[in-house]
Amino acid sequence: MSWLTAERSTRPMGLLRVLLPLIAWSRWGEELLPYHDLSPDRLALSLAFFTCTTWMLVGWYGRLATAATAGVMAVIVFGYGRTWGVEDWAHHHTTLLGESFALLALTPCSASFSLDRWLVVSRARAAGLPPPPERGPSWAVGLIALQVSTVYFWSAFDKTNLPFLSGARLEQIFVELYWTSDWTSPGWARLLFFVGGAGAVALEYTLAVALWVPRVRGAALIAGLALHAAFYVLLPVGTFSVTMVALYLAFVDADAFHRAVDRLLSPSGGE
Amino acid sequence: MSLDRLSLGRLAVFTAIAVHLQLGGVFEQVLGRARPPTTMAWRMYASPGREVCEVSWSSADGAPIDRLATLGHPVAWEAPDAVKILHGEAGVRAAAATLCERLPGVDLRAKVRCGSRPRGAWVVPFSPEVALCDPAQARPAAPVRGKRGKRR
Repeated sequence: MSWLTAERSTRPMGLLRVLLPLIAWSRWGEELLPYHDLSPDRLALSLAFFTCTTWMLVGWYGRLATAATAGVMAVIVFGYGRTWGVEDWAHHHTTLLGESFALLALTPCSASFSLDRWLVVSRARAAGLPPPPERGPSWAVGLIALQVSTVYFWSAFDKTNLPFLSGARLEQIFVELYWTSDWTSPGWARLLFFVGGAGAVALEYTLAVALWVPRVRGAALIAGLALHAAFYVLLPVGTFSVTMVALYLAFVDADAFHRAVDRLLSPSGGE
Repeated sequence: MSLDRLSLGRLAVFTAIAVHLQLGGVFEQVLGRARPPTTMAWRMYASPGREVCEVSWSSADGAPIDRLATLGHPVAWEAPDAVKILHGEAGVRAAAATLCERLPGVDLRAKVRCGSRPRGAWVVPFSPEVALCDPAQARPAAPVRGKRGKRR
């Protein structure tokens, strides 16, 4: 049970605290501009969304800001999206994004890349002390990783049926998005759909597990990035791919990531 | 092994959230029941392409017919989605009816397969021998029913 008290570098979660508001702006920034809807509730939602996401991005009392933003996301996804009929706000990619804010709030996400950190370092310097290390409890990072694995596993489980594994479903999706009903797929295309359908399911099952195994994690991350790049370019997945890739930060070795950032920022390149 | 109160609290929160994350999938995908409202079953990309059809049009003598060109869309992908994508047997028969109007006297046939619900397996809704411009054959056949009246 030592993982419950283990402390690691806070930089990966600090970076995620910066990325999630940017992804949220990409998803809702335009739709929540005040001029779209001047009703009092939507104006309040707009104000809360832009205030909380900006507050979180800046990272001043950053965990509180992240929790507040998670609350706004809950109103967007579960309130407007699922209860009050704004269906576009209750999709998988929006729910994943909203839940990610809540899980991130359980991590020490404001101890790096934040105004909080800047203030801590400034006070330490003023007192003639070295800045405190960027470290914090890492137990909740596992929940973000579990969220990623959960998405992969259940998505693959849902596709574990003959129509998807044979490539039929993939072919139907591509007919609707790229082709017309009047083009019969040639044999080579059907072979590609079979490989793509069965391969995507196999890869999703693999990623659900392999991302947790240090020996194969690097290869799994690269395979996952390739999968999401393909999804992003070929299918209208919204912010799903970019959110999943950002959540991969929960799987990286936090201390190795910390050292890598140090090397990047060092004037000598770490030499 | 004993845990201090902080660790115990963290373990409780971790376990509760970990279980919650799985509830949607377990309820909807394993048990076939409605999932709790705050959960997701992660059944992604279940809707796009659903019931979409692939159709190869021809006359009875086997000469291919370019439906979209006949309808005034020589560049297929420039046709409106509602024209270029056909869904289900009803969509194919409606497209056939339009073609029959545009090509009077043609003995229209179609080799068709459509995605089916719920999973998307290809099904052939009617035989390629059906003369789609023949009013007697142009109507969809009555569904074949089993002993208990369930649609097969």
